[in-house]
Amino acid sequence: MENTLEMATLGRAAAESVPLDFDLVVRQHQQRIYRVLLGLVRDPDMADNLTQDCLVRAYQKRASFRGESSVSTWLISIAINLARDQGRNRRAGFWRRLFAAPAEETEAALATAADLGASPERSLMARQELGRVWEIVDELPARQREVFLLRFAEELPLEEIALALGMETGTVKAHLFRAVGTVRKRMRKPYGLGTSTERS
Amino acid sequence: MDLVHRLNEAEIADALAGKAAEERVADCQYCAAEFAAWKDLGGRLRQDLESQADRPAYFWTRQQARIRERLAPRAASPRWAAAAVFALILLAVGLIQRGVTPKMEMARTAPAVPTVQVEQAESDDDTLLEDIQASLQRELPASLAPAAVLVEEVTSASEQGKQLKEN
Repeated sequence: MENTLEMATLGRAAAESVPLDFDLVVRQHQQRIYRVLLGLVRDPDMADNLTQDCLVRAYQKRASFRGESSVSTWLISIAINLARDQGRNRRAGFWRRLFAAPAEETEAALATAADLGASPERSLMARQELGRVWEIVDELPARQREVFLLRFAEELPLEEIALALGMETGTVKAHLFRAVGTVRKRMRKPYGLGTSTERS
Repeated sequence: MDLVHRLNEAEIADALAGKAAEERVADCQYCAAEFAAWKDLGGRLRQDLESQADRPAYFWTRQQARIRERLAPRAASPRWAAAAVFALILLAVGLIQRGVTPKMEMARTAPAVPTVQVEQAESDDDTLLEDIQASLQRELPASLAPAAVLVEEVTSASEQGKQLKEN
């Protein structure tokens, strides 16, 4: 099991109510929690604060960790709840910041896109398309967005997503299905997604 | 008329969830292309998010420090301090009352004090009261008397100087 040591640590801390080396848990999970939260709230500062909140809450509620899921999944579920609690209307700020990003950040983003072997023009287009996908994902209903991001960006299996979101696997699949449908419909022609063709 | 197969959302979701959609994909070229496009999109979204979440080492160190700080036991808040002061006052009042009551009871029940002792105590009290009265009537405390003399001298000297000028 991936987190046997951590689970033992958390379990012992929960049983004894004694602060143990929680630093280890923080160090192992902070980056992933931050990434998940950044995907959900789209605001680096807020993601930073929520990551701290998530890990502090995890420590405070460590007694409630029963080991039914991995520590990582448990932390993600806390993070998702925090992101839901957080204002839902702050997303617009991210896009403003993204498009007003300093030149070097844009360059770095373009360089990443250029790694795919495309020309600068195509890279820019790809970047814009990606921005469009993020925009669509951002506008998805909360549950669909969570499922979509956990599946796409975190590559979590449906069963783990179900544990993190506290829902049945079938429900997770339904949300993923709807999210894929929405993204497909709203993308104009990127990647050839969502085009229905009949050839003769 | 060759109807090109197309993956529906459920199949895409299945495929993305790691479920077998190979048969469908193998059957249809378009489906394979679309599935590949979705996989590519997923990869790019992931890569994009990773690059956004890629922060320098100090960012994580600072975050760890903040979490540690928040988990550290905090110093007593002002509210607690006020409560502690209030409790101390209550305790002091209680102790004082407890101290006074037995004295009064003792006074009530104590045997008569010899007359000589009483007279001496009364005379001591009188002396003390006279001292207090004298110090209250004094304009300045005894410790400031030299300063008062100095002020008087300075004042008189300046007045003499004025008179000399006028003359």
